Amino acid sequence: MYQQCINEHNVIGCIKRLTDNAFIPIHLDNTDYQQFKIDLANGVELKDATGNVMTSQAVTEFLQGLQ
Amino acid sequence: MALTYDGTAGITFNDGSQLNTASQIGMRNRIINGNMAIDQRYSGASASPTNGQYTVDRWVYGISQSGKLNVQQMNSANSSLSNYEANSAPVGFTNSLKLTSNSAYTITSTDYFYLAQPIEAGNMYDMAWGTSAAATVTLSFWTKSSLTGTFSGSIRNYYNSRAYSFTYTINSANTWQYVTITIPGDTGGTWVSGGTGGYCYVNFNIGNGSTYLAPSAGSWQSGNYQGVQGTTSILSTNSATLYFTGIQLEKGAAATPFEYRHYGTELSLCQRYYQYYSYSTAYTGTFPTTGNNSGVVALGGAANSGRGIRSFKVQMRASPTFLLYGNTGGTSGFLSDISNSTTPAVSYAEGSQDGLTSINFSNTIGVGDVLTGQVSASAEL
Repeated sequence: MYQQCINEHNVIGCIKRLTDNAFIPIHLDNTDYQQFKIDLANGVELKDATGNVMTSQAVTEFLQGLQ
Repeated sequence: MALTYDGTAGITFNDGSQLNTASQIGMRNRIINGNMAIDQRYSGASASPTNGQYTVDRWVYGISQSGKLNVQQMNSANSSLSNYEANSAPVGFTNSLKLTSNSAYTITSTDYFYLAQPIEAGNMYDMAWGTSAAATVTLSFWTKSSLTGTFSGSIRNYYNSRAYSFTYTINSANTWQYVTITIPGDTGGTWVSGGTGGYCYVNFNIGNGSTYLAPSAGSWQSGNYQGVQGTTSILSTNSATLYFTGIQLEKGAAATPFEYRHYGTELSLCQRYYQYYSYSTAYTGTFPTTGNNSGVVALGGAANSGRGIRSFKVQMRASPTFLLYGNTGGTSGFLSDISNSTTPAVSYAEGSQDGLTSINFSNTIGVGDVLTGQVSASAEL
């Protein structure tokens, strides 16, 4: 399970892995980020920055906007 | 004077200098921490990592079932250490990686248990695999097991679609044995040509099911293979052991003596992929919960944000994943605000290959507050 994290400018700049509270950069070379995208494609839950579970459509749109 | 070769002096150069052993030629081992000397995560403690976690530095553990094996960096030289074990490394080495089976497990066809090192493309691109100019490589290593038999491993591409599987035989139980395997370069398959991504894995089969084992050894095949069918696994025997050290992968058809690098050099090579900042005392797998000498991680700024002041010891391979702990360890996701004696929750952490730069908190942080704690950064392949 993951959660979006926003920076001081309210921009989603990293992802929090909730199993260990790791902060994963949105960076293609980071293997945790690669795994995050695989997990989301397999239906793993993503919360928005306020803690609400995102709908599958919202997750899909978020994924499409990522690098 | 011309360059000369003879059986005594080896190579004599024009200036009279001589080179009489290949071990004098540096940085030819593409494996990092092949002598298992660096163990940043566990400092020699026994561990049972989960799938995808690392053991000693640079050696990742792939497992489909948890708890079946323990792994530990061993030390054969210092009897005062908790990981000391006589003969746990061959002559010329101090450390090894020991795998111990925790039960007599029956491996299913889809199980996988392997030890592997992913190698960065920038350190292998000159092999030109996937082209007609593909270079031959030689893998050499020391191994020991409580079992005898034919064991196996492979080199596979980072896409898990191409593999060269090999076998090696351990004839005598509990006896260190030197193994060399020469592998022709792959003229087919898909291989990246450089960069900071992965190029290949060097795998040792600990106990894979038939899905992940090649039907035969000695050729490049399409598939995600970690070894060869029908080979020995320590998983099938309770308390069986398997050790590795002195692992070297080099260009060419001959195995040269293991390349000894300075400890500091090897540590720096490992820190490109993982590094941590903790107390001055040894890190033993979990961050310490006592002590008061953890360093400053960030300074408070406006709007509950902080500016990270941690510069990495070594530039990392990629922007890393961070784990942040307060002064007293425990659950990650916190730092200690020593200006207010609080432990605010971290809601955001961002950095680069060079350090931790920006942090946000769920709790109030004052401008100029000093935030201390412990940090790990991972940019593993």
